[in-house]
Amino acid sequence: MVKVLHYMNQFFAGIGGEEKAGQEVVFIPGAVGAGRVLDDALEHHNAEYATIACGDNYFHEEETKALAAIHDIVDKFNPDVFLAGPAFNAGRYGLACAKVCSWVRDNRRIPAITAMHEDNPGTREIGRNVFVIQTGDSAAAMQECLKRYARLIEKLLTGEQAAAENFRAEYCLAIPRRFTARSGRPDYVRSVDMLLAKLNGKPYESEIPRFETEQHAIPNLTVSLAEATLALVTEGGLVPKGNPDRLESTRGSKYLKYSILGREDFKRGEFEAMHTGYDTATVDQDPDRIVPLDAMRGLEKVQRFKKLHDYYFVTTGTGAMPSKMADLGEGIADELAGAGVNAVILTAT
Amino acid sequence: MELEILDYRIEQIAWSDRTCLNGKSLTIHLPSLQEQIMDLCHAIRIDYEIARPGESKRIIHVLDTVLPIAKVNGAGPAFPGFDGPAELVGTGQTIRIGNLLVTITGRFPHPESLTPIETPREGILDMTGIGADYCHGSDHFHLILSLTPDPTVSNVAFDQALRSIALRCARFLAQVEKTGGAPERRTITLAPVNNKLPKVVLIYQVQSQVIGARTFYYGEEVSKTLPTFVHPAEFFDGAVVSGNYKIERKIPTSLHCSNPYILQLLERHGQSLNFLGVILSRGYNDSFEQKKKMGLWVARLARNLGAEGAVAFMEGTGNGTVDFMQTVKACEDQGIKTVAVLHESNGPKGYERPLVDHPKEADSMISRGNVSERIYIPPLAAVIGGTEIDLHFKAKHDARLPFLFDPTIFYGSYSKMGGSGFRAVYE
Repeated sequence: MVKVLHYMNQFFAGIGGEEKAGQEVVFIPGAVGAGRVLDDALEHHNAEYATIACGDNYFHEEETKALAAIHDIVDKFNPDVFLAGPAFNAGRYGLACAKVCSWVRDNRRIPAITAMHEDNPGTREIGRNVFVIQTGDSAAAMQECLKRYARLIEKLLTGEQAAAENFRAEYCLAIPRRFTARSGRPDYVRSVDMLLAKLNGKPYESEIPRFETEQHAIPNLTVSLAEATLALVTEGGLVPKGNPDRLESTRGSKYLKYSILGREDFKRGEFEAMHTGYDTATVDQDPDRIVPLDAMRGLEKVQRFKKLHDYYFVTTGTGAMPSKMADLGEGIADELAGAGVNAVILTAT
Repeated sequence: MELEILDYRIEQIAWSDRTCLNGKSLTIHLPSLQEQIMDLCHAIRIDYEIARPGESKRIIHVLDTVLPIAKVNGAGPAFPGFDGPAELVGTGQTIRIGNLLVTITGRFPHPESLTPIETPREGILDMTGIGADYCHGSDHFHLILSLTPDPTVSNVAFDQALRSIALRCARFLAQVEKTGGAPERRTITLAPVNNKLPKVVLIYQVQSQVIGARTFYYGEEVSKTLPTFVHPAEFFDGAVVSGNYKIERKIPTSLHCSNPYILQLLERHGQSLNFLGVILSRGYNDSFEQKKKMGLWVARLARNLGAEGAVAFMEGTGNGTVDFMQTVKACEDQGIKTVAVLHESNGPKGYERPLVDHPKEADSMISRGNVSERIYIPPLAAVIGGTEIDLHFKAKHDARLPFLFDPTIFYGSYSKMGGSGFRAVYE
């Protein structure tokens, strides 16, 4: 007996189209839709098949609730294998498949399999050890794709580890992701070996790939400086004393904005820095040294520029993932552009 | 300069009515130990526990581990500048118990008055299971002192007290009466070798910033010093002591005292290379200009020592990486071929850029693995040092329950992952 649990969106589970995208997580005993094909293929394993359906919008708008509901179902059903998709090139569905499979694999350590097209944004959310079968970009590739699920499940159920890895190499997406593995020799041995190779002109290979920093051209001002509205933005973690909105002091997950309307400078004791990446003592003494409000007001008075924006924006950059910071940066930039801000002084630590 | 180490190892540890090392069996008389440190423990309650390698025990709120060392016949103090006056060390004889640690756990009395950077980070030490390969000291025996300060103790006083207590205990244990067993003897020296062998230095960059995130050399904060030459033997005598509670990335005092990089280079000295010694440097300088100069001064010292090559590692993360990379760059610019060792932070899903700073000169890197990858961490049978794990400012977690977290929850994990042979690879 083997228990298979299959995650599908509202459309593939036959609940409905876009109008049902708000569908909450629901448990369906038995196989539905494409699951029936897989259920048949696993007949000789005496498979018990069940389905989780969830609307694409619901998953993204209520991710925490959706994952909690899926958690409960996984606990109750106790599957041996977890499936999601195939998502082809459906972005929201692909993201949900990736997140659900990663979550199940991390927490339950059972095989998790999904399938999608290489351009699906879900490929950015695939956790370690999740199988992602490569598909075409539309459901026209469904039959071929289901055959591959079945073959992989077969290999996993019969414990053919090497065969499963061969399958991964041949049919799964090669998403470039780095995870910890055992090299067999400690760093202090490998480093001296590499140095001797380097000194003796022998070949060696650096273990950490280098990426060129992405260059972002600074746009030209579209108005004269005298006509420009300027804003202050920082990743230095400056918040009102007591940190009322609980900005994280490391790995910021959000950005905040605070009004500086009518404020000439930041008084000591009214603001403080939440940041584990630098010594915040000097900023706590004089918060203007991380967000230079006093200097900007001075320049505003002598009309070097037109106006200082009424809010400053803040996050904490230390320890954060670059992709998260890129998201936050986009959010800040959108707000500033929407408010007619022409230029930004961005202070980093 | 020559230091002889008398290295004892134990196979058993137990409480008893007398303190002695009989063969490979250590017994400790608790009242004698308490008497040794009584003057240091004002308004601090201490609970004592023992842990052995392989036991199903999880030690939480770990702040430091110290190797029991002591000088023989009073030839200067071990841990100079702390457990005795600052006298030059690295000569004579040093006695130690090589696989025992004095382990200090506890929480600061007034966390609310610490700035974020001064605030200690949680560190758990798993003696077995998946965590063992991520935790410094999982392969050692432990005498654990869990410190609970009362509110009259200031943060500054607690920081000093925990260090003094640990170092004093370490001396006490190294000096126990010994019967029925001879130590392994080894000499730490840099004897002249074949001049044709490549001349190599070890670049040893520590974190030294503020209270709670600093490192000491002869009791002095490294942040107040320039990059300096240190003879390997000085490390074995406790010249470098940790006051860093950035727990996952810290180099514990016990690792300064018995560093596998130093041991490795000593082993190859005269064989395949000519080990010139260690350059002790500091990361976390406040400005880029300072970071750059720190790199220049390390390279200057390496050049003046005649180094042709360097192995470099660092204590810390992002901020310190910039000082580190400036050092690598400056060395390479001086023609000193440099291999640099770092952890990667590829994110839980593995696709983030591995390093925050990676100049093209750093073309020979050794990886210690992805420190931001999630690991499923099952519970162990016993928890020592408290009941709740602090998940890095985010939430409290019952230490008896399983959880999913990255290696930053483990004590000394960045060094230990390297020592366990971990590296990051593409899946």
